[in-house]
Amino acid sequence: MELTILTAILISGLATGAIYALAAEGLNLIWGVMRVVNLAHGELMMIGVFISYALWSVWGVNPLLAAIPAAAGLFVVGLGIERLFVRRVIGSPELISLLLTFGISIFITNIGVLTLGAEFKTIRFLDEPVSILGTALPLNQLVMAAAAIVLSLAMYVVLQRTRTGTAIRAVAIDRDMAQQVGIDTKKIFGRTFALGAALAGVAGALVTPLVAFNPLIGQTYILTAFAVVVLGGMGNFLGALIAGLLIGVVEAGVAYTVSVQASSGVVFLVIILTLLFRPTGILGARE
Amino acid sequence: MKRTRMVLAAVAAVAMLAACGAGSGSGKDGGDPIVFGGALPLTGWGSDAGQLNNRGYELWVKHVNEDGGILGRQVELKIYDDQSDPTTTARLYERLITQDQVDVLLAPWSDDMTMPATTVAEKYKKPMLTGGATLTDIWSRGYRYVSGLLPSSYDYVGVAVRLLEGKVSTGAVLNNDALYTTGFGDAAVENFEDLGISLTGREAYPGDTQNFAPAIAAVQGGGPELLVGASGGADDAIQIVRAAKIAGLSPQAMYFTIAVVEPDFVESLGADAEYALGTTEWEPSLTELPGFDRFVSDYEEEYGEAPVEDVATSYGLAQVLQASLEKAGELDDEKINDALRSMEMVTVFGTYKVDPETGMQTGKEIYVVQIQDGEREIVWPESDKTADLRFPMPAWSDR
Repeated sequence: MELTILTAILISGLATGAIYALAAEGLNLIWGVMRVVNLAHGELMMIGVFISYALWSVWGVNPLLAAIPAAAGLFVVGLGIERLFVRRVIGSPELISLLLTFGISIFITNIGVLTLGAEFKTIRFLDEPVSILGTALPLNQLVMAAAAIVLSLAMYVVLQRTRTGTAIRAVAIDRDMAQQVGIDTKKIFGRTFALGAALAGVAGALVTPLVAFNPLIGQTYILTAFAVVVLGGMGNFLGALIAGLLIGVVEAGVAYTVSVQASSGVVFLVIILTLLFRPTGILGARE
Repeated sequence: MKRTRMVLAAVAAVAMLAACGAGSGSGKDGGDPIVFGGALPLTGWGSDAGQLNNRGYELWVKHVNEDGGILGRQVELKIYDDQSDPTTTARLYERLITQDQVDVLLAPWSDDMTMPATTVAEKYKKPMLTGGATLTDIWSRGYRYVSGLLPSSYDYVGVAVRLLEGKVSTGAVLNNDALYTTGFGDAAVENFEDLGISLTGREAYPGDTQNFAPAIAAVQGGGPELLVGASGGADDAIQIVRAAKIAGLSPQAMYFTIAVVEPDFVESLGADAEYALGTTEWEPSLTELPGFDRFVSDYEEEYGEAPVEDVATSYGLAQVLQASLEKAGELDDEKINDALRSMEMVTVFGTYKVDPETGMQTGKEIYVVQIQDGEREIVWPESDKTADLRFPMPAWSDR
């Protein structure tokens, strides 16, 4: 295979994969800690996209900076959703949370379409080519991917090193035991969902200059996010990062060597094959 | 006993309500409005066009009622949202015909939604005039009750490609994988064959594609002189242009279906939109079309912007239907259908004339447009052009 095609696959694949990983990490966190399947995760990302778009159109704020208010905004939204709805289904079978969040996703999508319209919008930010090993790639894609990886690793550090992060991991391992040692599980659930939502919001802000978007864009990302979580191992943070990058590269590989249409099936295939042959994910799920 | 009485009362109440409902539907005497019904993609991937088509219908209803209605009766509009899902479209047209019993069918949008809708119309022998649809298959199924406002995609795409005959010898096609855009892609390939333009590459992409670099890479290798983007709307065309620029793919001409007439195309791309070719069947510069002034000024007053092709399409479609009702003299589906197949007229959208055998449009004018200095100019046909074709497009690095 030509070097330029290989470079394109690897670099653009890692770039899109980094975004997939960030988009999925929030879903992963919520699923791993709360055993809640958040089907509204794509819509949380969509809200992040539109916060970024609004800040860009009105004040010319670049998407990297907009990620901060997007994170803050989604944190609050996440707290609200958890307190009002999700809290009620913690402890219930996964199917219940799936149905609940599915309903929330439809609600948010339709509010989005009603208020913002369904027309696609685009913004242009760092839309210049960068030449790497003979392949031209858009600068914005590389910058956003780098930001996504940095943020993912930062989140990982938060989970490993901070008090809240450790408490979150404790609740994920054994909810009852965590409560016994004095952790306020209710508060942790709220913070976990809010953090997950914030991660989705940041992913949305970063993706804004890369694609054409409308309020339905969440539906495009939710499936990929699921594939990442399944492949990475439910609850495994680093697993999600690696899985995201891997899926990005495989998708790019298929798009460049087979056809663009075939690449859209990669995500489905990943979910099916992982569940068939290694259901705990490539790094294994959290015990 | 008490329970039986309550049940009987409930049954009677329901029966009464049903009778009232049926009554208002079947009482077609002088006073009742004529109901025009249809389904449009008000949400989903077709929503840009769906919303514009809806506005066209609404404006037409306003005007027709101001002018006294049709056959002495006011007109009422009933539009459902099919969410850009063809299965939903079919279901909604079944409902419009069997349950709502609308008097006249309005067209859905795009080949994807039009194919199943026309099948439903044909099944119930209810005439349908299709609007935003150009797939030749629509009129080659031997249907008796379907006529078309728009010419087939072979010509819609063809006029642009033919304009470049002798100027380009190689071409590549990218198409959105929806039915109608695949039809555009096929039409491009057919026209290439007819004109001796060699096809160096063709790639289809899913409608929700986020990254166009692989698609561009797939066609870049052949060094195409003409790049045809069978895009569904402005959004994918915009991304194709941006990806082509990044990759350094500089064809001598780029042609996009639909996208070029959407304001977003120029707004988002700015200077990168220059030289892009498109085709349209209606332009705001065609001021001599009948009813033009009123159409444009009322639309601008209502929506604060100039009307575009999709609005003129649905408005013109409704005008043709109105004329067919007037020619038939009554709400008789057979007579209306005969009128649609035999009439010739000019509306605010342009000429209407179909082949009486198949219902396919034969008279409609198609225009080739090009973005020049941020404006859309008609570059063909000679009789209507507002500017000369600018060819070739300079390489990205020289712009």
